[in-house]
This record gives sequence, C-alpha cells and structure tokens, in this order.
Amino acid sequence: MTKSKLLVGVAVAAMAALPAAAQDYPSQPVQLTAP
Amino acid sequence: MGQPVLVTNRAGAGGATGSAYVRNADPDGYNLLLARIGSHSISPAIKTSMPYKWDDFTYLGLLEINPAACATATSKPYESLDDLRDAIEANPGAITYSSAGVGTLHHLGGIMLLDVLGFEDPTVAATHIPFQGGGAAAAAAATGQVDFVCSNISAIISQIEGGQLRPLVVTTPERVDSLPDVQTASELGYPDLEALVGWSGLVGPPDMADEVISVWTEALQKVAEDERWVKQTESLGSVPMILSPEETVEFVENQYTTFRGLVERLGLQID
Repeated sequence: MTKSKLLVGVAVAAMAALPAAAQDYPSQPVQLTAP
Repeated sequence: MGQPVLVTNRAGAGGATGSAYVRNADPDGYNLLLARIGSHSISPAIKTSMPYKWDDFTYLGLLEINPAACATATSKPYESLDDLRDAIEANPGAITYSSAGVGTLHHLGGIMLLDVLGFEDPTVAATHIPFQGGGAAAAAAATGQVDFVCSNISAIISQIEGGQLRPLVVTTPERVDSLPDVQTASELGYPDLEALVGWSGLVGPPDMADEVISVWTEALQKVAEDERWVKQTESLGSVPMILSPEETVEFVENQYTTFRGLVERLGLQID
C-alpha cells in the first residue's frame, strides 16, 4: 500500500467514526480521488 | 459523517489527470481530491501545459506535511552542507544529484539547495540525474552513484537509519523527531529552504457551497484529535497538520509562489 493510499485510508477511517452530521450533506457516498 | 468515502485512484501526468478530473466535477461536495505538493505546488509552477491552476479549487484543509532533507552517502566525504558546497565550488558541474524526474520535489529541491547555497546558476552548478521514481533516486544517493539527494524524509529514512545515507539538513522550522541531531535549514542560515516540504490536503472543485465546506472543516478538526490517525500519520514519517481552508490556501500559495519565482528566475519551465 502506498503512503498516499494509507493516509487516505486512515483519514477516511477516522472520519467514518464521526457521528452523522445534522446537515443534509452528505446524503450519498463521497468520491475521493487520489491522483 | 454518516456516509462512506470511496477512494479512487486516477494516477497520471504527475497528479494532473486526477486533479483535472476533480477540477471539472460538479461542486456538490461528492467529488473531492487528495491534493499534494506535486499536483498543486510544483507542477502548476513548472509546467506550461497544466489543465488547471493551483487556485482553481476549493480548499477544505491540509492533512499533513512531510518534511524533507538533503542527504549524501556515508561513503562520500561530505560531512556537512559546507563540505558539499565547497566541493561544488571546486568542481563546477561535476557534483551530481538524483531526482524522481524532471519537475519533481527532488529536482526542485536540488535546484533550491544550490540556489540558497549561493550558486549564480543552480542549473549548471551541479548535474541533475533523473531516475524513475523516488525509490531509485534514493538508492542512487545511498549507493554513492550520485553525490546527494533532496527528498521527503519518509522516502530515505530507512537508508539513513541503515547507515547508508548521511542527512545534511532538514527543511522544517524545528528539528525532526526522527533525526534530532540534524540541523534545520534556518539553523544553518538558509531559511528559504523551508519551502521544500511535502504535504497532502483535501480540495474540491471551485465554488463549493459554504455549508459543505463547513462540514469538512468540522470533520477535519475532529480528525486532528483522533489519536489513531495522529499515530498512523506519524508512523509514516509525516507531521499531522490540520489547517483551516483559509490557512491551507495561504500555505499552498506561499509554496507555489516560492517555486514559481524560482522557475521564472532560472527559466525552468517545461511542457
């Protein structure tokens, strides 16, 4: 796994642990492009 | 956030392919980009044919910085940056440095080091040897095939710890925990070298709504407090650094401006 992928993975994992936001956004999966 | 984040790799053209894709996506917050130094600072500064500008994006926040260092093989006689400078002065064009290719952090790092060391024309003071990727560039320096390399520390830390590479300077304002005995650029009198630092951050297409930006700003602030993320990031040789959107724009603009100034002054533009 490359560093960028791992960084993204860890960041995403951390964010996924957050409680659902009160706002309408996001109401569907977010696409994150790793260039 | 209540929704999954799906990571898609769109590699190519030094990060330009994936960046251009997100640049042209709907600004609804469902297409974001992991921007990095190459895609948003170096390439826009050095390449004339980029499909976007560094500020064509909505900046959501910086995630981490990746400190850089310039190093030489322990088999080389350069014990300090002064030793390397003296060797370059005594042998114009004969000293070599490796890179991951033209227009990479390694390449501009070498040029920037020669510039701050005071050489009138950094493009000829030492000879640039491009390799296929950062691993090959680091290996070339570690084995003494070239005289030095400027690289993100995480890419060369194993050769440093293994005794093959001798770091001569780190580019962070403070000393790096993993290399406590290595002097900083500012300590050595070269503060301009601090612009040489890798980073990654979250950006989206232009004109994203303030409400969406706020969601990410709040989420990233919580990420900054997540001990697991902090430890994982540090284990990769990075320094966790969550910045606000405004701070991130300022950070990237400063770095882009530094690189762009160097590129224009030395005529380093490439197609």
